[in-house]
Amino acid sequence: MKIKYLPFNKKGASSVLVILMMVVLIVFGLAALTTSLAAMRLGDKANDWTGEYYELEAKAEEFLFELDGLLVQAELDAISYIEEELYLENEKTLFPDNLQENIYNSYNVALPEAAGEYYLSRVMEAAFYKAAIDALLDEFPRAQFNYSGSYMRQILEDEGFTEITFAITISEENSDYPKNLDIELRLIAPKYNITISDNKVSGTRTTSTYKRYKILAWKEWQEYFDYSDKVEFEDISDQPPL
Amino acid sequence: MKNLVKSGIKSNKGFTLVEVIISIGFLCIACGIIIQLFIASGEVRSKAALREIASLKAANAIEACKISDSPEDVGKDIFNQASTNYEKTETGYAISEYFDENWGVPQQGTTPVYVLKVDIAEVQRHSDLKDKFGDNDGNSEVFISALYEINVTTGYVDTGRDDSLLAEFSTSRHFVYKEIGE
Repeated sequence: MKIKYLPFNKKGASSVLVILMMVVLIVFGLAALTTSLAAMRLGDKANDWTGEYYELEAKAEEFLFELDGLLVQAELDAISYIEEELYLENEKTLFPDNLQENIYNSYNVALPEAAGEYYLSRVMEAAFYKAAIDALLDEFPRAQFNYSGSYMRQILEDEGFTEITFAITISEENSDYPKNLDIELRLIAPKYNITISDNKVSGTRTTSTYKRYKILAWKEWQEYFDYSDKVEFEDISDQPPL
Repeated sequence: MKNLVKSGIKSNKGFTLVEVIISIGFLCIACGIIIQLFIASGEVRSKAALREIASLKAANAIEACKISDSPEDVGKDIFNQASTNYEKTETGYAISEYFDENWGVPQQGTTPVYVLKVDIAEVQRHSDLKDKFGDNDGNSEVFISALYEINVTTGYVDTGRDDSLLAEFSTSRHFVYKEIGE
């Protein structure tokens, strides 16, 4: 009888299967662990990014607070201007000479009282913008201002809506990937109802507009950068799995 | 039988008990390592997910601060009032919102697992500006312009744990609001 030999020896096949299964399970386990660690690293990076974003926002809010301080002072200046009737004194005027003369003449012609009150509210608005722009130009020379050169005349002669905007970039340089924030703002003149009685001027602020600026744009951006393709094992060892 | 012997199995002799025990031991160690890998992976994944939720909750709280008109109103429309404590501090407010293990509202009588803390503190204020001039009747509103520091943390209620802090963000906010003055 001819002896038939099998093409290969089956001896130890089960051991090979068990070892293979073990290897596959170990690979799966390592893959799952790596994925989890990567998810954790990604989460930490997202956390850091969010934290840096809020730090940048904190700087922007500090800037808004500083800006509002200047606008508060501009409002106080405008109040003094009306309250102390400085618009009648040529040497204490906020406006250029010819404008001051116009104001003086307009106010001194026999306007009905209501018209005089309305005109004074325009004077106060122009005084606020004048004081505000002078202070802002001095404090933030790098900001980009956008307004008409004849804004005072436009306000005083009631020629419609006067828009004074300015843009500035706030930067956060402390992080690995520096972030920037572009802010564009419009100044809002405080509105007062002015009354004249017994030759005394008084004003009440309208409650609808108690903010002195409106944010028109709030845009965060970063310079172009390349992600490093270097694997940072230190990060992984910093985060023990258990 | 003869064929079998010819085809390679030359002996019926099996493994000795020691060999079987050693191989089972090796198998157990290998299985233990594999199971540990999966357990560790699961723990890391759940920890990452927990941190992500904590971070989102903290970011939401900061956004709630940003949309509020005044520091007093922070979170009034966002936080669940039933599980939130408001406390007035010397310079601002301390708000704590509590959660159960699934980040839901804790049932009555159960101990909350997580807590979100919001500290709002005034750091600077411009001079108060009254809403009237010339004819101050002593009952005017005051327009406040103030800078507040906001610190938000999310973590376990049990502060004894090593990992009790899960997420922390800080920022500032410029509030302009009105108050009734003297």
